[in-house]
Amino acid sequence: MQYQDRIPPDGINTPGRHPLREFLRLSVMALLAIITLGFLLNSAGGTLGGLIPFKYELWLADRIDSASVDAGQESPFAQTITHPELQEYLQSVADRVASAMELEASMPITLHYSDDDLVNAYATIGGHVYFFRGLLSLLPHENALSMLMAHEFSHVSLRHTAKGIGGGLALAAGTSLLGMSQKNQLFGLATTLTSTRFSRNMETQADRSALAAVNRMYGHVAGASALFILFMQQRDEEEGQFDKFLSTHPLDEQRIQRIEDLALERQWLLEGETTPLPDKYSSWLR
Amino acid sequence: MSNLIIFAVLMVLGYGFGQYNEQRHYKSIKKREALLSTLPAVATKYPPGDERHRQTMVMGSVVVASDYFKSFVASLVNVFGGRVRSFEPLLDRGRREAMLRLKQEASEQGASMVFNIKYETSRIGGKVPTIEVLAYGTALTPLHSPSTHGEQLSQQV
Repeated sequence: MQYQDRIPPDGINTPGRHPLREFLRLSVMALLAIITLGFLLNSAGGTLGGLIPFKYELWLADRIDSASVDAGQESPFAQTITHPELQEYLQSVADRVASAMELEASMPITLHYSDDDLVNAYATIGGHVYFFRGLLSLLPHENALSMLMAHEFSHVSLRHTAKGIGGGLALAAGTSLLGMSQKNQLFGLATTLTSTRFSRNMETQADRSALAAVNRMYGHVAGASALFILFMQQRDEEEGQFDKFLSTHPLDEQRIQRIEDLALERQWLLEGETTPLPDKYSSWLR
Repeated sequence: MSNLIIFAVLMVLGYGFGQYNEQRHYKSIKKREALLSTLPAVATKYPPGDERHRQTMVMGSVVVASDYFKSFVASLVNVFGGRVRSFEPLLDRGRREAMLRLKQEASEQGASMVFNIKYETSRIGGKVPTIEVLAYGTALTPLHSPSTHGEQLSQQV
């Protein structure tokens, strides 16, 4: 018997396909799958979250409040009066905004003022809405303040907090069931993109509802876009293009345009006299 | 954001070094395979023929690690299923290198052939996919035969 050795032929036990092509194909598939899954989980969780009655949101806020007190820490929901005149004024505007929005009595809003440079305001569970000095000090007139308040109150009345928590919980539960973690980079990016889309929709809804409230209060919507012009200037100073792409809020230029479009559609007046802030407003903020 | 940058850097490094090493390794494998092609290594269980030989067990073992790029592509395949193409060259290199080391051992003792060749593969290590490939067989050395391949090989490896 004659035995011979042979050189192993190429391309049988190896793929013969460029590794980068394989990587691209799989990445696109994974990204699509994750975005679809993220979208489904987020919308399902968000819908369920929105169905939870507001009284449970209040109950949860109470629980957090008492747990903080029990732990000897300051509660995030404790309403502390540090600037009485300012806070009194904010409350008076808030009352007018709430009545223009016809907020139900079962959905109480609690205002919080934070003596901080942050140019921001946000609404969280239980109707707690926070305003930072940084943002308040930049407001040019009361109309912009009313728009800001109406926007945040809309998040409460439209149940965006509960929807956000529901969507986030569904995403976290779904992904941990799949054994994926935020450590998986592609996954992180895809979920960020999905949640960003949802948040932007919520912001747009809040803008629309806020604009209607401002129109009811003043008979026109002049000055409402001042808020977003302000944000636009701030962001131009702070952020790069990539941050804008991932921002949870719609781009400010688009928001301003949408406000104008909505006003034209509903035949709301874009021009009108703006109500000045009280004379002592800026001194209250110091 | 910083996580994404770290990820991208690891992918580029993994791809660059991984491809470079793989191509270099294949080049070396092909060169040595050509040199050792005069030494048949077969899977048959029975020694051929009538001549009297000295029989010794020879083995070649190699440990190969994956790179970040290959491992990431493989983790994506784990989601969808299908051929894990990124690991195929890794195993191919492992088997061929193990066989070459086996042949090297056999040729150093002047063997005329190796029969009853078997392969074993095992995964070792933790986070980074690393495999050991072991090839073993029985070398047949004609009685009083001088070594022929060993000298050639020692210059190549």
